[in-house]
Amino acid sequence: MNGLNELVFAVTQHADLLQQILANPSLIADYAKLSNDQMEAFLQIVNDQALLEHLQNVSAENTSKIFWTKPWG
Amino acid sequence: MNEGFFSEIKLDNLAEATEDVRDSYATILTYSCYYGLGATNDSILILANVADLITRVLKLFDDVIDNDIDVAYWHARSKYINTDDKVRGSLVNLGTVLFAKAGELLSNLHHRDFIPPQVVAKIQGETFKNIVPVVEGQQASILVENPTLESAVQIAEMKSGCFYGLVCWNAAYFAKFDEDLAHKFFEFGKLFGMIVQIANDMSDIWSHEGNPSDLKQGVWSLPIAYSMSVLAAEERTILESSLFAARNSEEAEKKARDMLIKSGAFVYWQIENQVRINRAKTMLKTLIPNGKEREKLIHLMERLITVTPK
Repeated sequence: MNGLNELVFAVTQHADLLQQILANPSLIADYAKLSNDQMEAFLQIVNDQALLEHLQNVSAENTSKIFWTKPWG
Repeated sequence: MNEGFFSEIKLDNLAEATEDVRDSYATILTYSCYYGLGATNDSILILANVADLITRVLKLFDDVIDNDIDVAYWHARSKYINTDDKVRGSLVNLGTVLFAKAGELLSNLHHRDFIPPQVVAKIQGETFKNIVPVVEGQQASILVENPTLESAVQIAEMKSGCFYGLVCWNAAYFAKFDEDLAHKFFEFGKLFGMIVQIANDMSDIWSHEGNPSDLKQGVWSLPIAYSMSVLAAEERTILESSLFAARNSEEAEKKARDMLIKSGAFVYWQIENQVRINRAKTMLKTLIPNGKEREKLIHLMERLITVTPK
């Protein structure tokens, strides 16, 4: 297990850290030891400000796809 | 002795396996992998029915474990399923029968004369071999208390990943009789299974469709495993207390859910799902030459990505 969990926790608690990472993504290479595809997905999500805010304030009412997951629905 | 308990089970098209079944991810995967490889024989519907039956068995066991049995669903399929105290036992017993029915369908494959006997034997053997880690994963999800993030992922990979892996293996091997190719489809199926499991676990931190949330039921799901892996000791204790109280208190349930969300559980699992979708897309480019079936699978996965704003 690498440090993606700790990295996500850190950036969700400290907005300024996220801004530093977005300005210089190579900062996290040593910190979290992410694989290339984890790095790509991480940047894909955190670069989308609206999605990121949504993920941190998600509720059943403001979410469209979360209840699409039941194969029997 | 009443011999009719299982003779009248209505499972849409179970016994004859003569119609399409397309209402579960497992059947969609079966057809898309098979047709996507350019194979065309209608006998694939036998494997689709097998996949569908095993899905139903796993759903049944999940319902019994989570104590949210969909009695109306099962009662519509057998009048012997009812709401009395014996329902749990009778459903477990029904699961055994459904699994035997899947074996019966597999045993009929050799009647299709175009299929070489060694191919039939291989599919039968691999199905039963690969169902073992699925059941082991299910067992671990019941018996392992408070698994770490790493353990929780391993359990989910066994329980859901290996199931969809075996579904894809069967379809690919039935299409091309090629073990190396089938193994690559198994790996794709494992990714797909985890995408489904992550999406389900995130969805189930809320109650919906009349079922209580995982938090209320005390299920140690993936978002909890994440939050416990990152929170400081003091906050972990608060979350544990809230989860314990959530079984009887909506306020505690909401507090636990808020702690999961604020600690970044949705951000983390959205990234983990995106990693898997990206990997799966790359695999599909080489595995499935048929663009239409490939796009169908990509659409299915993207529909499952954890969360999008309305």
